[in-house]
Formats: sequence, C-alpha cells, structure tokens
Amino acid sequence: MNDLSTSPMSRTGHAGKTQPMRLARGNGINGDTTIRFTFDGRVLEAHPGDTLASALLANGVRLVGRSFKYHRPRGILSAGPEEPNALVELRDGARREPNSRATVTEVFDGLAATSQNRWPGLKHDLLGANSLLAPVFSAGFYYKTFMWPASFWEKVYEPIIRRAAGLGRAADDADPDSYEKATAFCDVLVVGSGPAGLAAARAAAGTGARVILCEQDSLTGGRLRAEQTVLDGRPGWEWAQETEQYLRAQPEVRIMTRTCVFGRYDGGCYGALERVADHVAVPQAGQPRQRLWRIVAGQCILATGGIERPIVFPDNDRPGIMLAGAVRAYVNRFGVVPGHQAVIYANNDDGLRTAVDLHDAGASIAAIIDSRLPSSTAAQVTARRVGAPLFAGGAIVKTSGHTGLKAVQVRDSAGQTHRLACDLLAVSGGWNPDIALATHHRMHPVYDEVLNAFVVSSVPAGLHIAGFAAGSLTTDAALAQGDALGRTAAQAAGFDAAIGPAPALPRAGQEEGYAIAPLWHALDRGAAKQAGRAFIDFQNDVTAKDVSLAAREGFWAVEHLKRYTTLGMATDQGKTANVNALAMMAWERGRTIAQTGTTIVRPPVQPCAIGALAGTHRGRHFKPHRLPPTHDWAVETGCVLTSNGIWQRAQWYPRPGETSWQETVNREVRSVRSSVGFCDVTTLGKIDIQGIDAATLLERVYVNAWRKLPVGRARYGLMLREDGFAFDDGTTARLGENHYVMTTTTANAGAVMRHLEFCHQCLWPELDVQFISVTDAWAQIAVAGPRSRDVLREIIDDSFDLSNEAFGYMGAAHVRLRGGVAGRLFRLSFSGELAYEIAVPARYGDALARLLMRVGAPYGITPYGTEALGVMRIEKGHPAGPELNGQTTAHDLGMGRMLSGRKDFIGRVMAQRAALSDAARPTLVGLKPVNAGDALVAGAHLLPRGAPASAASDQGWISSSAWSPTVESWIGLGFLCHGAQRHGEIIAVHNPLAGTVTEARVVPPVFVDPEGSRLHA
Amino acid sequence: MPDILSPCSPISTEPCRVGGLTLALAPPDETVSIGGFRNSLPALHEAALQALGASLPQTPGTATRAQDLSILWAGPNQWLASAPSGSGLMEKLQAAFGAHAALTDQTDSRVTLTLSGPYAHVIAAKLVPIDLHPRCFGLSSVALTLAGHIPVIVVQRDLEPSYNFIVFRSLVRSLHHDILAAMQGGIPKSEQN
Repeated sequence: MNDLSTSPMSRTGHAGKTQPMRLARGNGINGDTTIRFTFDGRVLEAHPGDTLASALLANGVRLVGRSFKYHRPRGILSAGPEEPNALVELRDGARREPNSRATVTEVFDGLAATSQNRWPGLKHDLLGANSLLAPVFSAGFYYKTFMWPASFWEKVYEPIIRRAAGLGRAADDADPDSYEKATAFCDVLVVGSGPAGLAAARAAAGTGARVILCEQDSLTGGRLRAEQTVLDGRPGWEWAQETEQYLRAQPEVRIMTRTCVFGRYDGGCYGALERVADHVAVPQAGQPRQRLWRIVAGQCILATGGIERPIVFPDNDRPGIMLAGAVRAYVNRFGVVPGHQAVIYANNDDGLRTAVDLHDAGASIAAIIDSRLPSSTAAQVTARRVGAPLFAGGAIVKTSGHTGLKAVQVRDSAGQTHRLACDLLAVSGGWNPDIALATHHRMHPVYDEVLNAFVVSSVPAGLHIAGFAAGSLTTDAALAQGDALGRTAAQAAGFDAAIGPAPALPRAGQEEGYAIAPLWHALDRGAAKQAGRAFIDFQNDVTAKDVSLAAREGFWAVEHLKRYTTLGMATDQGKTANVNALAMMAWERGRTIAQTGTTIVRPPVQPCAIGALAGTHRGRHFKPHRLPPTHDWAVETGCVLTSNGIWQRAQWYPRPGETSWQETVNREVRSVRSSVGFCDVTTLGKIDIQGIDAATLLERVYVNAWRKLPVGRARYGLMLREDGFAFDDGTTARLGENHYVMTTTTANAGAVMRHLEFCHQCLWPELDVQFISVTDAWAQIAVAGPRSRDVLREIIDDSFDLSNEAFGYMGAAHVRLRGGVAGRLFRLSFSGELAYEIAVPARYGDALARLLMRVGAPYGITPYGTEALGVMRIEKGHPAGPELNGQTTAHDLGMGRMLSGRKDFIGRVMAQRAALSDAARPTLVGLKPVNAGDALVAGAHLLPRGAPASAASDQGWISSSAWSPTVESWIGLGFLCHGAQRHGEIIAVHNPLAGTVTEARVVPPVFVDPEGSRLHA
Repeated sequence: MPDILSPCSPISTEPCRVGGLTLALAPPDETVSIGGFRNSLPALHEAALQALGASLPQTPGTATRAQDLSILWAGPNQWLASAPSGSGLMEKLQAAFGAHAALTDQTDSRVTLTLSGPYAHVIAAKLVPIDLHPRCFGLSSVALTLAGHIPVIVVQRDLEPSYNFIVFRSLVRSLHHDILAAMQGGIPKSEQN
C-alpha cells in the first residue's frame, strides 16, 4: 500500500483497458497485484485495497443498480457505509447476500457481484415504467392505494409490490458460514481512527489504560486517507500508519479494524461487528465469517467524523453524481478518478477541495458552482488554480444522461442557464457530525446554526466526542481535541493523565476553511414545485415533493414524516437524507430546523446480520442439550429421543419387528404392568435441603404437613404460587433428622429452585436452612412392575431388607449396592405398580442401566420412555404438566383437601378466594370414549351431550389423552364443570381442529387399580 | 465382592487440540458443597481455619487454596470445596465442621473442562462475559457466570493462563462443543498485535 509512482498524473500501464479510470497512485491500494472479480457476469480487474465501488469506478462502471420504487438508474454516491444507492448481491448460492453496500465491500479475487432490483437487465429495466406511475407511488402510497378492498391485500397487492419494489434476493439455502461472539473489556474505547481517534488512542494508551480502537474500515486513518492533508510535511496517511504501528506496539492497546461499533447499551456496553472474513471468498476452515463483540468500556471516545450531505436539485440521482468528499476518497485513497470532465457543486469551501484533487489527478474541471453569493476567496483561488469557470450563487436546475450523467444545466446568479457537458458531478451540501452512537440513550441532538448540522446537546456520562463529530473543523483541531480527550477519558477511568510521554502531535498548519452557507434546495420554493424530481432519500426514492406532500397532509412531525414517506428507512437509515428532509419540512412549514427537530436513531448504526447476533447458537446448538446419565446407553439401544425442555430423553425403545411407535409403547406399558420395566427419571429436579429449619421451609412452601414425616419416608407434596394456583408437585423424602431431598417436575426444576431461593433470601432469611441442587449428582432410575423387587434383589446388597414389611410404599433409605456403591432407594410409583426409584452417583448411571438389562432379562425387563411413562400416569390419573398448567387450583385437581388448615403456606390466603374453589369450576375427571376406538385429543372441548359445538356450551377441555393398552380404550384426563358430580354421564367431545364431535363417558380419573393395591404389594 | 457398577465418564477423556490449544476433561475431584448454617457461622469459619488451614472466602468472586484443597466462594455463606479423588474430602469436612454446615456431595454433579494453551484467555472471552485481564482475574478469582447459555464456574488454573470450566454434568457435552467451536473460531487478529 504505497505510492507506485512519483508522478500522480501517469496512469498505470499494466491495468490497460480494463481499468481506464485507474491512477498510478492511491494510498490504500496495492497496485502491484491484480485480482479479478465479476459484475453481472462481466470479468473486471481490481487491486487489493479496492472496494467494489472503487473497482467498478476504476473500470468505468457508473450504472450499478436500480432504485427501490421507480427503478431509476443509480450509481455510486459515497465512499463509505452511508451509501444509499450502490447495493448489490454478493457471491452466489448459499452465500448470496443481498443489499451489500459496494462502498464497504472489499474486493477479493473471484468475487461475484450482481446488480439487483432490475428486470431483465440493468441497462434495460422494464420496471423503470414504475417511474411513469410516480403519482401512485407518492408519499403514503401504501396507505392510500392499497386500502381497498381488504381481501386484495394478500393475494393481489402485496405480491405485485414485492416483485416491483424490494431489494435483493436472500439465499435459498442455509448460510454455510459460522459466526461467533466474544466479549472484550477496556478502560477507554475509541470509535473511529481518523486524526481525532488516533490521537485519542495514543494519549489514553500513554497513561497505561487499556485501550480498544475500533475502525469500521479495513484501514485506519479515516479522512487522512481520503484527503491530501499534510502533517509535519508528510502525507497525513503516513502519520496514521505510523501511529497505528506505534499503538500496536503498546501492550494494552488493541486495534480492531473492519469492526463497526453499532450500538451503545447500558453500563458501558457497546455492540460491535467484526467482519472477519467478508473480504475473502471463504472463511478459513472453522473460522467465523463475522464476530459479534460485546465491548465493556469504562469510558468511550466517539471519533466518528461526519457524513456528507448531497444537494437537493432536480434529477440529482443520476450515476455520475457523487458526494464531493467521496470523490476525493476515490482519487486519493483508491487511485481512481471517477470522471474525466467534472463539475463541482458546493455550499462550502470543503467541497471545493475536490476540484483541486481531481485537477491534480488529471481530470478537467468544467465548472465550479458555488451556491454562496458572494463566493469565498477560497472558491476564487480554487477556480483559478484548476482553470475552471466559477458560478458564484449558481444552481444546478437540471441534469441529463439516462444511464449516466452527460451534462448539467447551471443557472447563474443572473438567472442565465448554461449547459455544461460532464461525466462527473461532485456535490457537497455540508457535513453532518456522525453522532448516532451518542443518541442511543435518547439524547436528542440540537441544531447548530453555524455548523448547519445537528450536534450533541449534552454528552452522556462516560462518553467523550472528538474531532468533526464534535464539530472540530480542522485536522489540527481534531488532533488536539482527540489528544486532550484521550487523557481526560483515561483519567476518568482511574489512570494518571500526567504520565506517559506520548509523541508530539503533528501539525497540518494548512488553511482548511469550511464557511458553509445553508442550501436545502437548489431552487426557490416556487421553482421547486414546478421542477422535476429532486431526490432527498435515494434509497427509498423519497423526493422533495414527497416531503411537501407529507407536510400538506399533516404528517409534519419528524416521526410521522419518516413513517409516512419511508424516509430514512432500510440499510442506510437515511444517513445522507435525514437532515435535508428535515430542512425541507422546516421550509414547508415556515419554521426553523431547530423547531422542526430530528428523530434519534436506534442501534445498529450499520446493518448487522442476524447470523452474527445468533453466533454459534444455531441449528442443533440453538439451545444446549442436557443429557441424562443413561443417554449413551439409550442411544445404543436405538431409542427415539425427545426434548423435555433442554433435556434429551428416551421417548420409546423400538424393538426389531415393531412397526409403529404405538406398538412399542403398548409393549412397554404391558411389560411394566405385567412384569418389570425401567425408566431414567434423573431429569426430575432434586434439591438437597438441610438445617434445623428445613421442615419449617417445607411446611411453608407445600400445602400439606411435613413435620411428622418420619426419617426414612417420602411424601407427595403440592406447591401453590402466591396467587393460590397450583405451581408444582413432587415427592420429598426425609433422609435424616434435618435432611430432606425434594423432587420437582422436570419442567419446573429451575423455577422451584428460584422459588426456594426467593423464599429463603427475601421472605424468611431467618430460617437456618441450606439447599442445593443435586439433580446432576444422582442418576435416578425408576424400576417398576410386579417383578421390580425381584430385579432389585440382584442389585441391592443382601443386608438391606427389601420386603414389603421392612421397606413399604413411600419408604426412603440409604442403601449399598452389591460391591459397595452407596446409593439411595425410594419406594415411589408414578406408574401405579410396585415400583422403586434407585439413585446412584451419576457416574454409575450408564452401568446401572446395563446391569438392569442383564439382571432383569429373566423377567423380560424392558426400558420404557416418556410415552409409556405418560400413558401409565394417565391411567393412574396423576397430574403432570398439562394439568399443572398454571391455571388450575388444588381444588380443580381434586386435591382441595390437602390444603392444611393448621399452618400457613404460600398461596393459602389467595387459594381461599371463592372463585378458586367454586364448585362450578372445571375439575379433574377421567374420560372414556363410548366407542373405545374414538381417539381423544388433548385440547378438545367438553360439551353437554347434544349441545351445539359453540363457546356458549363449552364446559371444559381434555388436558391429556392416550391409548391405554391396559384398559384397551382411549382414555383421557380433563377438566369439566362440576366434574366430580358427573361421573357416569355421557358428554360430547368436540375437536375443533378435526371438526369432529364424539361421545365420552365421565369417569373417576383413575383407570387402573383404583384401590392402589398394586402399589402396596 | 467387586463393585457391580463401573464409573462412566460423561464425555471422552481424550483431549481435543486445535493449534496450540487443548481442551481436556480434568481428572474428577471430590467436590463437596458447604452451606453454612446461619446460627453457627463464626464457629464454621473458626473450624475451617483450624482443621483445614484454609479460610472460607467471604468476598464474592474469590477462592482460597491450601495444598490440594481449593475452596471457591459459591454464594452467600456457600462454598464449593474440591480435593483430588481419594482424599476423603467429605469425611474430613464432616469431622471439621459437620455440625455447622450443610455438606452435600457434588462430586458427580459437576465436571471440569480445562482449556489451556496460548491465547486460552482469548478463547475464554468468547464464552464468558468476564474480564480475564490479569488486573481483574487471577489465581484467587472465581466467577459464577454463563458460558453462552450454560451456567459455569470459571477459575484460572495457572499463570499460563489456563482455565477450568466447572459445569453441571448433564451439560458438559454442550459446553465442550461450545468451547471447541470457540477454539476453532481462531484467535481474533486484534489479539495478535
């Protein structure tokens, strides 16, 4: 990236015809290497360091895309992220990315770019006819044109609009690239690496503070690369390069290029997007395409510079009309002269520098049009130097050239018009400080009448603004301000600003005038109304007339203006448009710009791919998986897995020859009911509770009594929420005098733990109790069925008496397995059979499952999954998630009598509200179809027999249903008004999804062994 | 009689290497959670000093070590003590202050993954929102945080630096995947000044 030639005028020979607009020099270009890319299939050449925009301009390509609404031919306006026009599709196949800004896309060898929003081709675009329908597409056209008839919206209007408007095409396939996130911390974050940013980073680093310098561009230097600024007698960009090297050598400085800080969030948090591999064809294996940074900064210095405004005049959108500062960037940084014959149109001295730079690069200057009258001395000096006529007080009233600028019509201060042939028009309406990041906490900018731009009204805490973003107009001022604020910020972050001998600041010493005079429309109001379309927002095709219309129709508030006209929307967010539009609105309303006000912006300041926000959390890894200890064994057996929250559980275990899941589940249920089966129930939440107040805690969180539970026994418990509705249920066992282990449902394990923490930390800190989750510590397996005791005898050490007399239903004990592993045994049953839950340290869970298969083989043992578990719990009428759905009460669940009257507990008072135990409330019932084969579906509604299937006759719903191989019928659990009194009644079951009504008999919600004799066997 | 059950590792014990970085399952320690009973905290702290020669750290985010024993702050009046397998940690703690604290075996509850190698701190920064700069995080630090969506306890093992990620056993494979993905994602260029 060095000068290739001492003569700026000589064109590179080797680029030949393919890069006719390429100059010999460009401070950011490596002209030694030539790379190839395609645009709309045409092979073109470029150099490393080019953006797609600079490479297209180097090849003389001016027409780059078609506009959003009118399909107007458009070219390249800017040289930065603010670009509204030059949006292209990059790459192809699954990597195709629409709406990419050519001005920030780095060219690489093999890049394929395609113009978008045109059909059939860029030069001959049939939808350009939209332009003729302009009256239809005026401001608010969505609301006016397509309102009626309503039914036409989805079928007719929307498809038409989508085809005609819209931007590029998204890829059809999943993005093959990966994205990742990372966090970085620093004392001082510097955003932007122009003169102010570099000086700030240098000064802050000198104090020993940790500094992060973020630059969205691939190179540091900011405008120093775009201008011919001289610092201490040398090119400014050389100083930038040296300063970057100096900073890189500092141990606590980190320079992040290609990294856009896109948002400012609470607590000194900033979001930033690093384009890791956007500048290469394919990321290195495993490495991300982009990386999303969360930067936590003690202090932040915004050195984001400014964004130039276009000028509003008729037909100001032709390819070849560019921002003056962008033209200088192409000439000086990229070594590209965007036109041979140029006209400069500006309302300030800064824009006039373009004439000099173009002239020095060999272009001829057809005219300088200075809207100011009288024009400045600088304008006169410039015009003389480049040998061009100066139109002081002039205006451009018209342009021509269908797919590229051919001429402009200038009206001089005397009212005479002149036609000037040209292929480049460089415009400058002045610069807006880029203060977007400062507004993310709702700071409303104020209008500065001298600068003719919005500036920060008050600098938010922890933020400092340096350089042009703060209104510093010269390089020297920016350097000095950056340097001072670098120290200030470091000091605010706790560092001594006096230490650290930073190298002396360089001096530009040049005259860098600005002298802006407001210019919001080239024409006066009357003429503007008669003239052709003068664009304000190029990306959304919003014209000066659209703003006038919005004003006439009452949408003059800036927020309404935006929404009514679509001003400032889409990828550029109106970076070049907004202030011109506000000025136009002020003009229309006869108010000042300050009175009109401005909208503020939200993050992100530049587009950020959703993929980057997701990072590595996509596809299978969208959420983590929790795996129970028997997972590997279960997968080996060929089980089908299901998600239970983030747990992955075995749903059923098919055997060879089984043809449907129903067949498998039926076998698993029959096996448990007739012999023995086992199921991994590790996923249930397990909470170890200890302390002298442990029982008191249980008494307060459960509805039922706990004090008298003996050591070695377990009990079913129900918890309510504070509002009196059922929260969770499970069993809690007493393992020692002051030691309990609570189980929760799988779904609520986290919520119950939080609840206990809240109760202990906030409600009753005086309770001397400690608890901790042991869910992962124990592999817990339910062994169920009439032969379960026989199986356990093969596993549990002989010294433990497993007999019903010694270890009855609801027993809980510490046990040793044969050989010595310490475990726990609970005689709990969810299936309704004689059953146990055996717990061993999790590392043994896998071996326990394998052992059960071996020792249970003589009994035909089968593992069973969550489906069979569900069938058996419905057969027994045990409530689960569908019944504990947050809307049911203990009364609804048939557990009203569990609510203890002798103690206080969470939810007690609110549960006493009359409505919560109203007899008319739907309460838990069992349901059996009159025809056993009529499927019951959860979610179906219950109606009186013969009643119309309407909401008025709705009396309840089915919460759970299953085919019961034990009953040989469909069975269901549900909630029915006055349910407990209606056992035996036949009711109608309406499934609105299938549109069916079937009949079912209301029965008690226990289908198998209602006496519970099997449990106690 | 030999044990009828043999232990099974929740994830391969084979270390994964990417460039100079290594991700490995740490040997299983014995781990016990200590929940101090509020009515006997002074006695608990005294007993810990006497019997273990280590204090139970009272400052959030800190850890203490004494020979093979490490004690991590894990919450208000809660600690996580670890010692190498076979050291009989539970019995030692029971004897030292069993009456003053709830002691719960957490040996099987959590698994430790060790990330080591050059730039381990940079890889760790992709996972946890913790400032791992030596000015902020060191050998006596502990962080209870999230690695992406996964709750973890992070401690720095040595000055290399390498890190231990202590995670619930059921989540170790997901965490292993996420750390490995971070390792494969490479060292950000801005770190390689």
